[in-house]
Amino acid sequence: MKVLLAEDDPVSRRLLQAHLERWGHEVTAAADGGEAWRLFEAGNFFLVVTDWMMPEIDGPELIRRIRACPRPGYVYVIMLTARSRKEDVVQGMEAGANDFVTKPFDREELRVRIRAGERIVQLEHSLAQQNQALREAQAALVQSEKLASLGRVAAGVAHEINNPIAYVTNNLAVLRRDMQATFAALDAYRKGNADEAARLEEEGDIAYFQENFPRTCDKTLEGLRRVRDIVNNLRDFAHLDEAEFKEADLNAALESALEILQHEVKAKGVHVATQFEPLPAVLCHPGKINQVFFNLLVNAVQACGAGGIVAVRTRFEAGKAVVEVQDNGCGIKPEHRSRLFEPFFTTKPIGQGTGLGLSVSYGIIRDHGGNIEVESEVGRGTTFRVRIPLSPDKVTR
Amino acid sequence: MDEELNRADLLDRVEGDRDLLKEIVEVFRDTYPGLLAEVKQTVDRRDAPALVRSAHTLKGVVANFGARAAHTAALRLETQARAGDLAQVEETYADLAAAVQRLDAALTRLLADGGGP
Repeated sequence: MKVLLAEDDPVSRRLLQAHLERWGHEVTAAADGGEAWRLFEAGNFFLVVTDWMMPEIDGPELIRRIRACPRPGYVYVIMLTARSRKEDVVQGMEAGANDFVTKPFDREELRVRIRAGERIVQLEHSLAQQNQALREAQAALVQSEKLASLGRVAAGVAHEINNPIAYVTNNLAVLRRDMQATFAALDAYRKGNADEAARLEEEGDIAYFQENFPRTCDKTLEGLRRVRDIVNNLRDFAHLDEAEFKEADLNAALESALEILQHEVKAKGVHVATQFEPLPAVLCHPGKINQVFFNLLVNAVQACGAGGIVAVRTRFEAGKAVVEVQDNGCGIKPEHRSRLFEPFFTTKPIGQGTGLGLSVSYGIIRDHGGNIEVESEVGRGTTFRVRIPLSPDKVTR
Repeated sequence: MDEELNRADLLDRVEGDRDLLKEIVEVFRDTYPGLLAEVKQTVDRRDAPALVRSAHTLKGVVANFGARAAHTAALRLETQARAGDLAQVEETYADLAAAVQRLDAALTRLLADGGGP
């Protein structure tokens, strides 16, 4: 290990350096605190052995500078001192020393104290590495949770769009067939062949086509409008183009999330009852708030059996927007309740849930200065209650 | 003998390494005349804070050799200066200078013996 040695007495310095090198350390020696500080700033030392009394910069001052230095990695500092009075130990510890060795130093004592310091530096180093790896893994998982909800949204949207597209396509095929028949009859009329024209009219059932034409056009246009609405809704829901906080209507956000979940609601035979009271605009990150609502609504729908009821209520209370999502589904087991917001906690089979939906939601609401409450009874259902202040600045920061 | 130099202690301190011993004796000889001169100057000036520092440094140097007499004199000088009691510093300095000279001589004998304690 690289060791920085600060000692103004040349005899002690030479002896210390000789021993440290024998124990396999790479030693850089400084004759006073000032030189030690310059070497520390320029080098990469995690273990420092320093004398107390030195000209220019003394031991405690050197340690204070090392501690104030915003460098990654922990620096272990051993102070050499001729003193052993208790108040000096306190002063040294307060400056940031980790350990003391009295002078003239005992070789074995110094060796084991250096080894203890080395171990702490190594532990700190591996801990920092593990923390870094965990942060990276967590960031990747939060991203995968986002992709998982995006996948669900995409499935819902695809289903919703497929339906109108199918009958618009069908209507166009019918229109083309009937228009061809109509044009054939028209051509016969132009040629003065009235009998043939009448026959073609009869054969193509043009009277029926004519009667239904306005309705067919209306239905087709309605289908196209539906597709346009779904796409608009999706854009609002995802807020793909917004990274900043902006004012949003939470009732509209809930409507939007429910719209996207519609096919899942229908497929499961769940009834959704909404009771929205007027809410003031909330300064929030709309895309993230939508992610929270979507997660809570999906959970509620999944908790319900066929014919279940999901009630979604909003109100303004004590300066906060309150959103309640209540289901009459299976409820949450008491032993699971304390772990609900824990990252990676899921009761779903492996591979079906990331266990991050509620933990990510909790983080988002906390970042908005709000909170999430849960009430649940096994067999009777669960209520999630989200409270969001109108502006996060009024609560935090 | 032990008053000037604790041979056993010193040889243990260098782990029996004669080369390292010779090296630190050389460092000592390069260093102590300057340190003694500094102590003398601070004594002459009756500069108590500077005397605390100079005596402390010399005390640390001689402690490496287990030189009890020199260590005791340096400690007494440091203590007197710290207390601001400068009445006897001239005498204490004389004791210290003599003890350091005896340490130097004892080191010469130790290196010449070439053997153990």
